[in-house]
Amino acid sequence: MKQKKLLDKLKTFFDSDAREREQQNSDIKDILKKLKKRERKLKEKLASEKNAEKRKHFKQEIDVVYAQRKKGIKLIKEQ
Amino acid sequence: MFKKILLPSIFVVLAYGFWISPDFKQIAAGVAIFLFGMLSLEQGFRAFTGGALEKILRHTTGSLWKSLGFGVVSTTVLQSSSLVSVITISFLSAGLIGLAAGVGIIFGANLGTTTGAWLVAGFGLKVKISAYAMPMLVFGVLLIFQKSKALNGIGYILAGLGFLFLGIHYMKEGFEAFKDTIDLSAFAIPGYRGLFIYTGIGIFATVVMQSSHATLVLIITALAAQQISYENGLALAIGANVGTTITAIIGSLSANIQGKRLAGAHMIFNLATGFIAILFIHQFVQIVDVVSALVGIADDDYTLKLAVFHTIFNLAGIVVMLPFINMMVSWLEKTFTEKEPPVEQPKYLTESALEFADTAVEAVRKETLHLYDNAIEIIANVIGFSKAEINSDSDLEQLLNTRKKIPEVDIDARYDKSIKGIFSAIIAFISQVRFNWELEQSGDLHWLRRASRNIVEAIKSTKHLQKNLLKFSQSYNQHASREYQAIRLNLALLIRELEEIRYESDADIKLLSMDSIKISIVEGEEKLNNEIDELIRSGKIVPETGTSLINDSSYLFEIKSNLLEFFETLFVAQERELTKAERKLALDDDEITSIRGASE
Repeated sequence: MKQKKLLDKLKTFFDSDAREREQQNSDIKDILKKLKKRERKLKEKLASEKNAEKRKHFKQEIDVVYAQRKKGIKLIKEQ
Repeated sequence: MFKKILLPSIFVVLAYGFWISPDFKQIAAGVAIFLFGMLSLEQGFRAFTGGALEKILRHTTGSLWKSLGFGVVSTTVLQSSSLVSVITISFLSAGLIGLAAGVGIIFGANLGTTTGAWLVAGFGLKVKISAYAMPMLVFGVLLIFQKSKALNGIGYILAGLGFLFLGIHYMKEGFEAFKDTIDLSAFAIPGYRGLFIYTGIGIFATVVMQSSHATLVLIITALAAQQISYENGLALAIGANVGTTITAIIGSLSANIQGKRLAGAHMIFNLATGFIAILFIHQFVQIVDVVSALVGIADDDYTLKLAVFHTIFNLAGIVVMLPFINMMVSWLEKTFTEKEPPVEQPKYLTESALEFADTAVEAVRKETLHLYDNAIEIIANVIGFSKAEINSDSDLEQLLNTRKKIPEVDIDARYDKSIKGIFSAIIAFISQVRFNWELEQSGDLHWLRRASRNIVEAIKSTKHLQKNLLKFSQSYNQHASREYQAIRLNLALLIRELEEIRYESDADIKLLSMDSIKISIVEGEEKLNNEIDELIRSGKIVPETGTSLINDSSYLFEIKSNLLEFFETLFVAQERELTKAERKLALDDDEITSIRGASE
């Protein structure tokens, strides 16, 4: 009886962990979608911008968003 | 509008007065020098706050009787109640003593000053402290140049006393022209009407001659020549006692509210004592006769009898007024209130918000944003913009070029008005919160408190930055002025960017937007420092300007970092669940460095 109780507890523990992981994955996916949208917008802005200083700024922002997306994809793959 | 034309109008009226009357010029100069002396005296006493003088004063004015005694003794020694009262005003203004102690000293000084009449009448002796005025001025100024705080303080006190006497001297000289108009025998009217008229003359004569002693001498001479009756002479003495308060009133012009309250107390005491003396003049005459007979003063020795009267009526004044001293102090405190600039109050921190953990956190979060908005208004003004301009779509660079000159912002006053009150309220509110709540809310409050500190730090750095910003924005050296213009633009752009993120529709990627700002802050600092190095190397700016720029670039960095940190904290506290995932995607220092490396 005691062992069964212990096993049940262990099962719920693992389950909640998995649930949390799942929730996080879905949050990250959500963010990734938004980041993708942002990247696209920035690329549009870059294409129409002529000022060198501002172009540099947009390029850097695109690099940042790209790095963040890469990090997110890697996190999902690892889990 | 009225305020704007007030000062120029005063200048014009004074200048016209100086042009038509040299006497008026002298009197006005006297008042100006006197007030300067008061300021100097106050500054001198301020050097001793918290030190030996404060201890001595606290000890000697600890109770009502002690302060009364202090007034009597110091006035007897200095032989000038006016001087004791102005020194007391400056003690009070410097915060060395309290109002009740000050009132006690003033009461005592009124009794102490009567010893003057005794000295003049009894021994023909006149202590003339004003003879020391010139040496005081010289020694005082010499001591002001000393580095030691104590010597410097003594210097200011001596110079202050010197200027006080010099001011009184000029006032006296200026009034000299009016002295001849005082004809004591012209108003010989019997009864109370005559008494009041002579009291008025006594007041006028004392104001004109700036010394109740001088009035007393005048009365004694007039009495001896039988120009006036004995009772009229007494009325003149009462008037002299009231008139002497004018010095304290002039002295309080430069003093703070406490000094004004004390001058008010002085005025009330002397007026009330005067009224009592006039009302009971016959009784006083009888008492004077009895006392004079007891100590062996001849019936016709009016000089000594005047001294007796002076002492008795001041003593009576003290006896009558002493029980009301506390009432008087509280009345003065109510009547003379400091016009404090309106301090902005918190909007969201209410008692009811304290009820639940989540409402408390939300209230603090909103209040912190309120604090941020006020701070941004100040920072925007310091760099020559309005908050609305920064948040608009207008071209900031173009705006900057049209506004090379920036107005000076009184950051301390603005801080007191719109930051300090709210910041203190946030700290107080957080400390009231029961920390047995769940860990998460306690953590949030901890971070929000830190965010408020970030804002205060940003304001502090802005204050440092403002100094050179004002100095160099219009510098003849175009390289230096260009760098400072760049600093202004840089900060304005960051504020605009942060505001854009704040109102961004994608609430859940706000935290990630900070990563690119982090990079631009670090790059901006590096770029600015490289430019400064280059300008120094090529001799386009002197190294001194270079060091100013280097310091200011670090102030700029601090402002930006604090604002960024504020935003990061605020968004983390806002959406706890979402930011968990966001934080996983936010770039760390190594990743940021590698992006910077790739883009170079």
